[in-house]
Amino acid sequence: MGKIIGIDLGTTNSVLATVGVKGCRVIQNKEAEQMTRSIVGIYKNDYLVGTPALNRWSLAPKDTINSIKRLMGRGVSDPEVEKVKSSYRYEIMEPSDGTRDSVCVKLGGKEFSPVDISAMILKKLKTDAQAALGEEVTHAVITVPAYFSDKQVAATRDAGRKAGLRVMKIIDEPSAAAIAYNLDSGEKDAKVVLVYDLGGGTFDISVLMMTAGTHAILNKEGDMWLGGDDFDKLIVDYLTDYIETEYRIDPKSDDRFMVTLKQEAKKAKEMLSAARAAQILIPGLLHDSSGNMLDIDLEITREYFEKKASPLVKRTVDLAKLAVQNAHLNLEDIDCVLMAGNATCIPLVQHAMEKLFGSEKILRSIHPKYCVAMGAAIVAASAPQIECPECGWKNDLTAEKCEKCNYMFDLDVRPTKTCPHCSHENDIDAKTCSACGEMIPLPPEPTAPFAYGIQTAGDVFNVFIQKNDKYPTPEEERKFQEFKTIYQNQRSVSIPVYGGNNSEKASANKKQGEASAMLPPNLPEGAVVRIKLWLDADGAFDISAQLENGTDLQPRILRGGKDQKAEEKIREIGSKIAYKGDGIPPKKKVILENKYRKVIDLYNRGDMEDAYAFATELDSEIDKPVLPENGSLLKEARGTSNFAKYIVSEYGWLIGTDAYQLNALIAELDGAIVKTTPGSETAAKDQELIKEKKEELNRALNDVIDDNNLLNVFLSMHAEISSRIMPLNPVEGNSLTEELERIEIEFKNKDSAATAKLNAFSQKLNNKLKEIKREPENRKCTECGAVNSPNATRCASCGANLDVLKSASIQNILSNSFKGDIK
Amino acid sequence: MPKDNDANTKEFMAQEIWNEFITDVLEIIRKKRELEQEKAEKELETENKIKKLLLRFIEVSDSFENVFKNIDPVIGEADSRTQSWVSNFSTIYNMLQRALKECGVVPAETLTGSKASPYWHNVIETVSQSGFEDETIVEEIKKGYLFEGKLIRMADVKAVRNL
Ligand SMILES: Nc1ncnc2c1ncn2[C@@H]1O[C@H](COP(=O)(O)OP(=O)(O)OP(=O)(O)O)[C@@H](O)[C@H]1O
Ligand SMILES: [Mg+2]
Ligand SMILES: [Zn+2]
Ligand SMILES: [Zn+2]
Ligand SMILES: [Zn+2]
Repeated sequence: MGKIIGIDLGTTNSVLATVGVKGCRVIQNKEAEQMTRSIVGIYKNDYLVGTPALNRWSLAPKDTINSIKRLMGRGVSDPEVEKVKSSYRYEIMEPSDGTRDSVCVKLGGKEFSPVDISAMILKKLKTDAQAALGEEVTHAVITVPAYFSDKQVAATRDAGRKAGLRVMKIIDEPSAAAIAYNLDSGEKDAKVVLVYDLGGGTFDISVLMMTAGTHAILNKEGDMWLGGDDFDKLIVDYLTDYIETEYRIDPKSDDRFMVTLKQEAKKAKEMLSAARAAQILIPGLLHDSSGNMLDIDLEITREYFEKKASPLVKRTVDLAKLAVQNAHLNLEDIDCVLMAGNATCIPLVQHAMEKLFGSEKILRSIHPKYCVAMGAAIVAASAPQIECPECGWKNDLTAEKCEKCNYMFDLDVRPTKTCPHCSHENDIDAKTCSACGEMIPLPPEPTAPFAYGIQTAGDVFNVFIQKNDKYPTPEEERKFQEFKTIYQNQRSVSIPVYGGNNSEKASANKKQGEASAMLPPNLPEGAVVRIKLWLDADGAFDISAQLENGTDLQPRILRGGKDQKAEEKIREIGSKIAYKGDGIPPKKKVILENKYRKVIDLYNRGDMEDAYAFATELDSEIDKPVLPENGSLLKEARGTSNFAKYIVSEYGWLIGTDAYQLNALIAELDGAIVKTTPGSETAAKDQELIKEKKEELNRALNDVIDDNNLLNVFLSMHAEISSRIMPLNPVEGNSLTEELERIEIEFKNKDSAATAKLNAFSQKLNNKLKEIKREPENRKCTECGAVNSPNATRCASCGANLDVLKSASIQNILSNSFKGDIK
Repeated sequence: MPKDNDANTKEFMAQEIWNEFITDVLEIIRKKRELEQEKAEKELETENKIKKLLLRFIEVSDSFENVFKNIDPVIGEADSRTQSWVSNFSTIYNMLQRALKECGVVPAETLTGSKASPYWHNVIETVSQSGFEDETIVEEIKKGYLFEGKLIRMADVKAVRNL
C-alpha cells in the first residue's frame, strides 16, 4: 500500500493534498503549480493535462476538453449539456454504442466518456503526486459538489478506478471544507455551517449540520454558471469601453491585444483583493486609427470594481439567504460561515458575507482554494478504509472487494510490463515494446522482482529477500531475524510485508500483505520475536514466527477482509483484557484468558467466522460483572487451611502465641476434611462440620491479621505485587517480592534499619503502582507520535497500526534512517 | 517463587535501558522527518516567492520589447535627439536583462519555423498559412524564460493552423 491523497476535482482547477508527519499540505504538480487546470488535450498520440493542454487550446480548440465535470453522469438531452455545447468548441455527442442517457466527447477523433477524461486528469494528479512524494500513491478520497446525483458520484468513482486509484470515499465539497476547519470534531453541540463556494465558473452554497464525527447537508443552492470568470469580464468590458470612447477604435477585433487584456484583467481583479487600486499597463500593443502606438495605462479602483461587481455579489447573497430559508432556518441560526473557491478572495464577497452573518462568524484561516482538498486528505488519513459504495461497509485498505456485499473494488487499469530497453510501460501481454520496438524478454528463471521485507516501528524496512533472489527460497536460506515487542504484555503483533527497492522506508515500497500473530500474556516489553520470511514456488511470500524459547506463534497471513476483521477484534480484546488489569478479578481473568486462548486457537486454525463470533461474545463478557462464585465447599476449606498454614509458617515470628490457636483450628478443619471420602457424596453432617470449622478458622485468621498491623502491611503488599505487577511484568514482580521478603527477614532479626527500609519500599511500591495505573493511558504511535488510548489498536490520528514490532538491532534502525548524517 | 533472580533482574535492567534508548531513537527519527518536511515546505515557499518576483521583472522587460518592436522600424526617421533618448531606454532595458541574467534568469530561445511544444510554448494566436505545417511557430510574441535551467515562463507564440 502506498500513499493516500485527497483530491479536489474542480471544474476549472484541481488540487491535491496529503497529510504528512507535519499535518496537511498541498502538493505541487510537475509544472510547480499549486493547482492543475482541469483541461485535457492531445499531442503526438499522447494526452496532455493541465497547463500544457491549455497552451494548445488555440491551436486545437476542438481537441481541448475543459469543464468536463459539467458533463459527468449526464445524458445528451440534459439542458446543462446543451449549455456546455454552446460554450465550448469541442464535440459533445451521444456515444455511438450508447443510449441517450450518456454523453461522450471527441478527442483526437476518438470517443471518450466524461469518466475517461476525468480519469486522465486524475491520472496526471496521481503521477505528479508520486513524483512529489517519492512514493507510490494508491488510495484517494475525491470530492464532488453537494448537488451531484448518485449517478454522477458513481461516475467520479469510476474515473478514480480508471486512473489506478483505490477510491476510499467520495465526499461532498462543503463537508470537506468543514472538515478542513475541524468542525466535525471536539464539541458535542451540533453546529450549523454555511459553506459559500465561489469557483471559476460555478457557485455553490450549502448549509451543513456538523456534530462530533458526523455531518449532514440540510440544504444546497447555487448557480452553475456564476463564478470568478464573470468578475474578470467586468474589468475587460470596462477597458474595452474606455478604449472605444477614448481612441475611437474597437480593440475587440485585435485578438493579440484581447489575450493580453484578459490576462491583465484577471491579474487586476486578483490584485484588487489585496490593494485599493490596480494599474493596468499594456504598452506597445495597440495602435490607433492613424497607426500611432497607444500605451494603455489605466488605474482601476476597488470602489469602481465593487460598484460593477455588486449585482453579481448580490445574486450570491440572495442565494445564500434562500439556502438558509429553504433549510427552515434563520440567518442567526448559522454558527459559522466557510469560504471556499478562489473567487471568495474578493473583498466585496467577504464583506457581503460579513454583513449578512456577522464578521465573527466568518472563518478564513485556510486558503479557500485548498480547504476542499485538505478536507479530503484529512478524511483519507483519519479513516484509512475503503467505504463500500453499495452498502457503506468499511473495508480494510487492502480489500479487493466488499466483505459484506462482494462489491468489487478492483482497479480498471490493465497491468503493465516495463521495457528493459527504454523503460516504457507496455501492456502485460506485449511481446515487443510499443515505444522502441525492442523485444521484451521473458525472465529465464523466476526471481524476486524486488526486495521483500517487513515493516517495524519507525517505518524501518527489514529485508529478508533481496531483489533477484531466486524463488522458491531454498530451505537453508530461510533465516530468522530478531525483533522486539514494543509494549509490556503486548498481545499481538502485526507484521506488514512490503516489497520494493527503497531500503530507507518500508512504506515507500508496495505493501504485499500483512501477517499477524497472537502473543502469550505477560511478555515484558522488548520480548524477542523471531521471524522468517521466504517466497514459495509461486513467488508469494510466507512467514513464520516464534518466541525466543521456540514457541511457534503461527502467524497468519491476512488475505481478506474477514481475516482482518477477526484479527482486529482479537487484538482489541487482547489489549482490553491486558489493560483492564486489576479491574478484572483474578478468577474471572483466568476464565477470560482461557476463552481468549480458544479464540486464538480458532483463529490460528483459520476458522475466521467462529473466531470473530467468539471474540465478539468474549468482548461483551469482559465488561460483565462477576457472578458470585459457587466453588465447592471442600475446595474453599482446603484454601482456608492452606492460607492459615502459610501465615503460621511464614509469619509465626510475628504473630507469636496466636500461632498456637491457629494451629489448633487448622488441625480441627483438616480432621474434618480428611473424614470425607473424595469423590463420594459427603454426608450432610460432615459438610456441616467442615463449614463450621472453616468459618471458625477464617474468623481467627481475620482477627490475627486485624490485630497485627505489620502483618497486615506485608500481606497487602504481597497482594498488590502479585495481582497488579506480576501479570504485567513478572520479572519486576519477582524482584519486588524478593525485596519485600528481605525486609521481612530484617524485621524478624530485629534489625534497627528495617522500619526505614519498609517505608522506602512502600514508597517505591506505590510509585510503581501509580506508574501501572498511568501506563495504560498511552500507546504512543511510532509513526506520528500521537498518544492513543490504552486499548487502541490503531492510531486515531494517522491510522497506523499500534501493535507493531521494532527492530532488534539499533544498527538496523540507524542505517535505515540516518543514511549518511549520523556520525 | 524463584529465589535466585539476579541474572534475570540484570537482563531486565539492560532491557529497560535499551528500550528507552530505542524509544528515543524512534522519536528522533520522527522529529527528523518532521523537520525535513518543514524545511522542504519552507524552501518551496521561498522558491515560489522568488519566482513571483522574477516574473514581475520579466513582465517589465516584455513591455520594453513591445515598445521597441514598434519603434524599431521607424527609428531612422526620428531626429537625433529622439534617437539618443531611445538609445538611453535601450540601455536601461539591457541593464534589466543583465540583472535578470545575474539572478539566473535567461530567455529560452524560441525557434521560429519549429513546431510549438505544449511544454514550452503557449499558442495564443493562430494564422492560416499555406505551405506551412500546422503548429509551426511563425512568431514569438512574448519570450519564454528559464530560471536556473528550469522553465519559469512559457513563451507566447503565434503558430500556423490551416483550416
Ligand atoms: N486573489 C484573488 N482574488 C479574486 N479572485 C481570485 C483570486 N485568485 C483567484 N481568483 C479567481 O478564482 C477563480 C478560480 O476559482 P477556483 O480555482 O476555486 O475554481 P474551481 O474550484 O476549479 O471551479 P469550480 O468550483 O467552478 O469547479 C478564477 O476566476 C480566479 O480568477
Ligand atoms: Mg471548487
Ligand atoms: Zn458493500
Ligand atoms: Zn522500449
Ligand atoms: Zn499515528
